[in-house]
Amino acid sequence: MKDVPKTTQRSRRPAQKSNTMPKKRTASSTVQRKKSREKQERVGEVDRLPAILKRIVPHLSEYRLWTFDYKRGTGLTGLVQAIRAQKSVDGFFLCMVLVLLAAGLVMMFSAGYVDAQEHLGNAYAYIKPQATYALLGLVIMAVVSNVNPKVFRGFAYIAVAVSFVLLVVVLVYHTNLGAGREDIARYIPIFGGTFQPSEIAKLGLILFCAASMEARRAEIYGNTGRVKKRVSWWRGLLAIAPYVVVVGGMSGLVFLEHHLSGTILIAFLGMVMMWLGGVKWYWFMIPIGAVAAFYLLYKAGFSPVVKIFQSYMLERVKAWQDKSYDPLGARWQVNQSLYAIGSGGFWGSGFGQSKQKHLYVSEPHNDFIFSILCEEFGYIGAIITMLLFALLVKQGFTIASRQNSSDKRFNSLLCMGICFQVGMQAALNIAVVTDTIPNTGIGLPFFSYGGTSLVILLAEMGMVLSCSRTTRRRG
Amino acid sequence: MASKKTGRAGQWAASLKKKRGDNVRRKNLMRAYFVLALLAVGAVVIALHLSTSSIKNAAALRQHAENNQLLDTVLRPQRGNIYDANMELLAQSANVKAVVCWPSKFLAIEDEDERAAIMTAIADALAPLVDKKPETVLAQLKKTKNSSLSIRVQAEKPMSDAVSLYLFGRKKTSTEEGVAAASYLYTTKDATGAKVKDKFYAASVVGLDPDTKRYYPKGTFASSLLGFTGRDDVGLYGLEQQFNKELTGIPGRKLTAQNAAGGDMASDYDNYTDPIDGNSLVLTLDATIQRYLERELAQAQKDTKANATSGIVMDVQSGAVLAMAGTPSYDLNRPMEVSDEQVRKALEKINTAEAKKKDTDTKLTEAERKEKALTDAQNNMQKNHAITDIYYPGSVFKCLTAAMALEEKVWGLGDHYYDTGSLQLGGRTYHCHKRTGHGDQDFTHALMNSCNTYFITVGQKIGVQKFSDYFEAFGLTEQTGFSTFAETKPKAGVTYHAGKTMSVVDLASSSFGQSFQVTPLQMLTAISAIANGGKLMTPYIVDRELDAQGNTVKKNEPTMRRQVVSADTAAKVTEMMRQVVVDGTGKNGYVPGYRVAGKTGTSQKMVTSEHDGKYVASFVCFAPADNPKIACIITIDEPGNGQINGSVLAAPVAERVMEDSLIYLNVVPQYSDTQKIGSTYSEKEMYYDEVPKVVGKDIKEAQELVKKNLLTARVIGEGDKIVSQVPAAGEHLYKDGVVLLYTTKEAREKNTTAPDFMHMTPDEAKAAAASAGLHLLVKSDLPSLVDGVRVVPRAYRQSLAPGKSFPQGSTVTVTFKKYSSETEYTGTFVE
Repeated sequence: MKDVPKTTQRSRRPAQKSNTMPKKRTASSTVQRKKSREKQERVGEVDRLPAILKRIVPHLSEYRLWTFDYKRGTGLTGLVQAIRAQKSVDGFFLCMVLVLLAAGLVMMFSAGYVDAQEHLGNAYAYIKPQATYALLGLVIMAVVSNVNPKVFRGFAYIAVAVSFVLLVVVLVYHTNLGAGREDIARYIPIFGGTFQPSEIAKLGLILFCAASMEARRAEIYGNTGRVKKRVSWWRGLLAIAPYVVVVGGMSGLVFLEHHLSGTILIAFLGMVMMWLGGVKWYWFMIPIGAVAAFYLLYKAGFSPVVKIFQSYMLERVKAWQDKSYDPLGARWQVNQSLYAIGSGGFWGSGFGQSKQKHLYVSEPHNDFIFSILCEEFGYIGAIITMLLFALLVKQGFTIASRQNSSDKRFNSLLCMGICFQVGMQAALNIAVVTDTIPNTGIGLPFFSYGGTSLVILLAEMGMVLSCSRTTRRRG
Repeated sequence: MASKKTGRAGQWAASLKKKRGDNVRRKNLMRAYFVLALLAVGAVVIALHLSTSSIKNAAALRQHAENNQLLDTVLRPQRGNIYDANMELLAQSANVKAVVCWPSKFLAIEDEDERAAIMTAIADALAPLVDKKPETVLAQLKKTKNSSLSIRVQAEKPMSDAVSLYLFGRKKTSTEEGVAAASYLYTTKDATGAKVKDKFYAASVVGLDPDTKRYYPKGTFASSLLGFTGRDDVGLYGLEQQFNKELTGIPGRKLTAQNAAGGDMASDYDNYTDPIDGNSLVLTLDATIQRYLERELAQAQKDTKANATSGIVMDVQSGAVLAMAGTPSYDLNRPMEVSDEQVRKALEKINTAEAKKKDTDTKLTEAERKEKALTDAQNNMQKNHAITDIYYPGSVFKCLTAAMALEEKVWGLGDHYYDTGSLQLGGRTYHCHKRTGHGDQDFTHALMNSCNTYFITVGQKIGVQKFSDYFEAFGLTEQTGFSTFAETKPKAGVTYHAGKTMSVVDLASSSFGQSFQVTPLQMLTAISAIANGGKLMTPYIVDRELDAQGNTVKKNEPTMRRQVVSADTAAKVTEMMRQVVVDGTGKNGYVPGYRVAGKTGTSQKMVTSEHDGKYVASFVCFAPADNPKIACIITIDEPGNGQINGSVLAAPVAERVMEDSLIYLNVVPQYSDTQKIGSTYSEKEMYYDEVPKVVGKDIKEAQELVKKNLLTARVIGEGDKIVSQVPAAGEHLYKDGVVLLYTTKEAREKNTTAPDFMHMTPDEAKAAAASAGLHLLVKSDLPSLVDGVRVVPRAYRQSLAPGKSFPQGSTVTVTFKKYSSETEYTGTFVE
């Protein structure tokens, strides 16, 4: 990265790893400036990080909470100084995150307490761990938001490797082992809880794409240096090959989990990352054409294609197309969800007044929480919630668009990837709940029950917040 | 953005910005916008789709949700009771249980073999408890597509208790061992998904629901009149059907919210409406008179081997029906069971060769024939013959012809006609039943002899127009109004000749009661009009309706339809009819002490192959002739003993019913000493016996003497010879009067204290007098009904002072007065 020109001179913070000291500083007091310079010089000489670690994870020493060690002195004073010296995070984005999290927790409690009482004998059985994880997540978000995005970039390749390992592990070690449904392998049991490797994989994919696409920007764009020239198609293919392999590998592994929605999510996320990363538009015609061909072959009744749809996937599609299909089975969930939405009407029946959450809507605290939200707060509440998500995504993209300098390409892609993922998940969840698409198993971010996914989500929010620090606010 | 260029990288950046940088950035931004646009389009699509559920279809979806969430329980009202005029209970509803099953819940057992095994086990255990075959129960349990099915309705307490014990078991008590709730092991999965055995409780698929059952405490009593209820307390026949709405009441409603597991859920839906219990019916029917009628009809049915019989007793002044019965009858508690001995035997014979031969053309299998015979028998016993059977009234109708002629003054009481035994009219020859002819007769004697030719002649004098006008006026062309849907509706041209189409020949046969058909009730109503001074009343059976608290909510008043003939004409016809009973064809209907007016009828049934040579014997009468109170009609359909005459078959039945009813109704018999019975004795001589002289005779001889005079002897004292007697020799006592025979002087002088008869009913007074050793003479001139209410007479005056001493055997005359009803009895008299 050394050949990447530094473009942060105008920022208040100096580039941490740069050997050349910034000439201009804009710290508040000259005394402090003098002190810190001395410390920086002193600590800078003593780089205690093992060389091997630095090699594996480039920019590790740029982790902001470490840098104070070198530049602002050790101990609490240094930490406080380092934090105070940072630029503030994007307030609007943070605000959206907190609002959604608060709304999600409240809604989760309202929707889930009946189910909890009925099935676990304790109305707080869902909200307690969820709130605990939310607090933990907030702490993690705070910490992550103080980490230099370059560190994430450093972790990108490790993350994708870990993701692949976990995706393989889950195929042989999962919660359904010995329970008769070995084919569905989504969760790894750990520490008495469970977590979904596909959640990690999504983050790994975003990090990988962002990091790699920043590094291989020129190849992807099809130019090197200042001279624009035509590149042959195979060089173009070579340029996108790593992403095709990673996205294809990941979705393939998730498909082996019999997790169709996860497969589609990862494949689509990967494609969007490639699109944002600047992959030539004509490459996207291949998957689009493939899907279209697949669909046409399926419509035509081409048997190998039909067979690929496994029975449970097909049944969900059937249940979506035929609104009277198996009302007590495949369509039960969606029907109850629609009843809840209808019961709410435009203005809703009021907070806590949902009747469909009384065991009619299955998992009212989880995948179908949005239908309870619709019942209690009506169409107006649903639209406001969707607007909150929209604002979050929009603000994430705004943060991304502020990463103007070319060395912030990673930050930009990371923010867009994370926010797109949140927006897509929310959209797909709401689409399922409203019977717009066939039933899949996607939770609503911030709202649905699930500790690890909430923590991962908040960590991702922390990454976006961290990116937002590196930029100057517009206006 | 990079304003400061530093080194090679800086230059690159600057060039990028100048030449391509902005371009690239713009491209990247465009791509980001494209992704955002994708999400935005998705969001808009979803928002629009959501609006269809949230706004457009909200009402329907909400309805669906409420259908799931709300448990709408119908609270059944208690069906009203049916009482007779004296508040004797005739029909009553009680709460019982229904055994139901929920077959769809069997699907919790995933293994099919296991499910079948548990189903069989439950069916085997349950079947004996509910008195059904295991296969029947199993068949119900196997219908797993149904959420709820009935196994057994109207399970009474012992049965429901047994089922409850099986389902829920019993806790161990100090005295009894506990019984576990029935359960069966099945394979299921625990929370981790591992297969485990668990208990499957029978109570999760079988349960008890509230149900009601109708009870008829008197069984066969008034069966065809009352009718019965089917499942769900719906009246199917008779009054139960006719007054179903009033008896049923208004169901209540309990609306509660439920969660998906069936538990209660707090909600603002909760709503409760009380059921309004059905009204009770108080009939004008008098159970005592009904008993008399049923007793006599049952005897007649037995004696005559008739197809069916029917009888009605009516209060002539109000039109209130006091009794209405028919045979064969059936037990209302088991309405589908053929309980009549005679009919059952006939049914058993149905598969004999004779029956087969008879049915060759219908090509029915034996089972079908049996089925048909059973259905016919059920219909025959369940229908109310008195209002549904139509028959040719025959000679009974001559009374009405006479009334028409007298009213129209086309024929006088003194007008004579010579009957030669036949009459030529319109190319047809009419024969009188006496082929040799009755000779010269006046009007009264023609009725007494029931002379057909005489009445044909009278009918021709009346003319077609007048005849059909009166026919209509007597209410024979319409339903009587007793029950609009159970009564057979007369049809012009079918059941009777309408005025316009009636020919002279039709008139001829109509004038002696052939060629048109009426129901027994129509006939009796018309005859009652004669008894009631020409006023035609609407017959009715329900006196009043009581609500659940016993308040009268509806009171039926007697309704006069019209004055058909003048009181004068009615009196003349009454006298003619009285003569029929005194010395005419109706002699068998004579009731001593009561001046009965009556007319017999013997009519051929409609000439079809089925009814060829079949007759209906009938008798209609009312009494007392000078102040008619009750009227009675008896019809005997297709008597099977060779005898067909109304005078022989129906009149004695009516006589016994009338006698018992009149005595019961406290109509004081008056024995006339001028009225000749036959030609030798006066009524008084015949029925009012002289006390023989027995003083000085030994006991046995004295008893025989008294018995010979149709009196009852009661010996008092320990002596061998009769010392004295009360009443004295030569005095008159009515039939069965008690003669006290004293064998010792001490006994003779034994005094008794007169009881206080005040406020006693006649029955009570009788008992009190007997225990005191006094003769009771009942004095009362009460109508049996006042404003349709059965009058309960109460004593208010007595000839011997209460508490004073009188010789045993003295006669005490007790006078009775009316109360409007038993329930209103407060100890004061209604003047």
